[in-house]
Amino acid sequence: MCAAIICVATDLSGVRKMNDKEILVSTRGLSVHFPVKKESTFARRRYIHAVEGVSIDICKGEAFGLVGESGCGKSTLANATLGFVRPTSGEVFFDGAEIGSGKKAALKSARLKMQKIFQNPAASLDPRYSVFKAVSEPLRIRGGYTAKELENEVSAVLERVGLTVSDMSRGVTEFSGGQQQRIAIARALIVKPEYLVCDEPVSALDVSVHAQILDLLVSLQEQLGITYLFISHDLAAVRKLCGTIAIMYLGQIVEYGSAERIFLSPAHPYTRALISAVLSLDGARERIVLKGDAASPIDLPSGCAFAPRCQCAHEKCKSTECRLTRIADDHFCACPYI
Amino acid sequence: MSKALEIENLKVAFPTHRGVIRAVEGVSLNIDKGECLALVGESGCGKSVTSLTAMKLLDDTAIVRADKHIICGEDVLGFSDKQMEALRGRRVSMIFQDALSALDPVMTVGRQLDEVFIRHLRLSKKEARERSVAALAAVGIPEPGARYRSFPHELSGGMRQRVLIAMAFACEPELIIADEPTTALDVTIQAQILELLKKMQQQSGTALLFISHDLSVVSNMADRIAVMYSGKIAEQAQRDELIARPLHPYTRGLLSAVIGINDKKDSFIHIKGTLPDPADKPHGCYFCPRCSEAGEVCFVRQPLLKERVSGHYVRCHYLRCHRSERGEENE
Repeated sequence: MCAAIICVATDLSGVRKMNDKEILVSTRGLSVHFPVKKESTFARRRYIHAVEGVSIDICKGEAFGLVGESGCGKSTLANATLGFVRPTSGEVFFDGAEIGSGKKAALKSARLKMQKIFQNPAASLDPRYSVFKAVSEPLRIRGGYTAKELENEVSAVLERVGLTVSDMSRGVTEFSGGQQQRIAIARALIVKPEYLVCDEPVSALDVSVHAQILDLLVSLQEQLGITYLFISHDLAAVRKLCGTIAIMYLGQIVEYGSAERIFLSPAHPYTRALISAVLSLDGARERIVLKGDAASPIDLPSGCAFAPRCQCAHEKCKSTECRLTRIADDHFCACPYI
Repeated sequence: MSKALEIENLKVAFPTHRGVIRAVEGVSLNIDKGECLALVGESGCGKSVTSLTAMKLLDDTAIVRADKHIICGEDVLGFSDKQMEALRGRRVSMIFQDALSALDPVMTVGRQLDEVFIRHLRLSKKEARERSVAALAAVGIPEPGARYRSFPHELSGGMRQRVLIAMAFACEPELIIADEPTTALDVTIQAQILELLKKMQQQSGTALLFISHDLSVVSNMADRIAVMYSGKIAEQAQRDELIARPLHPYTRGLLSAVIGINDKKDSFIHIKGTLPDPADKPHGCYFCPRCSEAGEVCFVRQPLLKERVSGHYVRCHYLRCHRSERGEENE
C-alpha cells in the first residue's frame, strides 16, 4: 500500500498543517472497492479496486491536480473526498473532521462548503431550467432567502463568471458549451464553497473554449481563494492551473508532488509517457506511445500495476509492490528504478 | 494527379421554424490521392455537415447544392441512394467520433467486420472470418481471435476505435473520412490511435479527410489544413505554412488557444465570444464581431477566399498589412 505520510504535524490548536499551510482535505490510506455482479450464485464475490490506499493532502487555497486515464479511479477519489462514496477502508478528513465513516452530522456541515463541476454541462444542467432557476437552485434548497436576495445573489455570481444579468431569464439550452460551463460554475459558486471539485471541466468543450474556462478558474481562485481539486487527463491544462499534482494509475498514486518539479523532472515512467503524449503544434517531438490499455481494476496484476505497459520494466517489477517514496523535498514517486 | 474527392461550391441549408439555417456556404474541397486534408473548426461551424454531405449521408430535410461533387473519379451529383451504396464502404468509408454508438451493441465486433467483407467483397462467411481476424490484428488488437467474439461493450474505448479503423480500412477504400476520431479518448490512447491512423494511411495510400477541432491533433496528421468558420473556409494552406504563418486572425486565435505543455504563458490567449447564430449571421465578415483586428470594411463587405501566397488561401480584408508587418519583422 502506498501510504505517503507527509510531514503532517498536528500543532497545539489541532489544525493540521503541511509546510505551514493549512490542510483542507486529506485522505489516509483511502480505498474504495465496488462489488462486481457475481457470474453464478456460488462464485466468489469480486471487487473493482477503484481506489487503493491513497493518501493525499490538499492545502487551503491551492489547486490540486489529479491526473490519469479514464478508469483509473480519479473521479472515485474525488467523490470520496466529497462524501459521495463511502470508503471501504481508510479515512477522509475535511477541515479536520472525519467525514468518511458515515457520521451524518459531520458530513452535512462539511457539505455546506463543497461543490462540484461536472464534465459535460449540457448533461449536468436541467434543459428545462432558465439560467436563474438553475443558478439559484442551491440557495433555494438551503432556504432562508427572499426573492429579492436570490436575484441579487444570482446577478452577482453571473457577473463574476462573465455572463450578464440579461442572460438570467434565458433557457440554459440557448447557450453554447462554454457558456453552459460558466453557468455550471456560477451554480457551484453561489453557495460560496471553500472546496470545489472540477471533474474534467473542459474535456467536453472545444479547444478554443478550453483556455477561456481555465482562465476563469484561475481568476476565480485569485479572487475568492477557493481550494480546487482539478481532475483531468490533459497535463497541459493541469500545468497551467495547479500547484500540486498527483498522477494516478489503476487506483494508486504513482507520482505526487509540486507541479513544477514533476514537469521539470518527471520520475515515473507513466508520468513521462503522459507528458510526451501531449500534442504540440510542431509535431516533431519524440513521443512515448504506451502499448495497450490499462489492466482491469478487477484483477490487478501482482507487483507494479504499470509493469505490463512499462518500457523499462524489470523482472522484479512483476513481483514486488512499489511504494510511494520520497525522492526530493516535495516529490514522491512509486517507481524504485528512477 | 487524380483526386480522391472534389467538391466545388457546396451549400447546405436546413429549413427550421426559426428560419433557414445555412450550415455550409460555398465550400470547395479537393483531396489528392493519398493525401490527408484536415478540416478544423469549432463545434457548429459546419465541418461535420460538410463531411456527411461529402458521403451524401444527409437526409431529405437538408437542402444541398453543389457545382461539382466527384468521389474517386465518379461524378456523384446525380447519384441515387442505391448507386451511393455501391460506393460507400467499398471505395469511401467513414470513422466516427463515438465508437460505442457507431458499433452495434448486440452484435460481436467480428460479425460486424464480417458484414463489411460479405456485403462489399462478396466473400463467403469463412473467408470473411479469416479476413476479419487479420484486419483486427493489423490494427494492433491483441488476441484478435478472441476479440473477434467480443461485444463492443467488452472492449475499451481505444480498442473500439481500433475496430472502427479496421472496418474503415477493410475494403482498402480510396478515401476515408474521419470525423473527430480521437475526441472521446484519453491523451495516451489518442497518441496510439493517431499513430495507427497515420501508419494505416501510409501503408494503403488512402486519402484521408480528417475532421477535428484541435489544431495540435491536426498538425500531427495532416498534409494540408483547411480552417472552417461559420460555414465557410477561412484559410487553407499546407500544414507547415499554415502553422508557421497563419494569415487569418481566427487561425491565429485557434493556434494560440492550443495550450502547449512547455509554454510559459501567464494567462491563456483566447478568442472572445462564440460562433454567430447560424440563423442570424452578421453582415460583412462572419468573424468580425470576434475579431480584434476588424476595420470598417469588415462590417460591411464579405471578404472572398483569395490565394495570397501560392497554395495559401485566406478570407480576410486586412491581409496586406499583416504581411508587411511580418516583412518588417523579418528585416
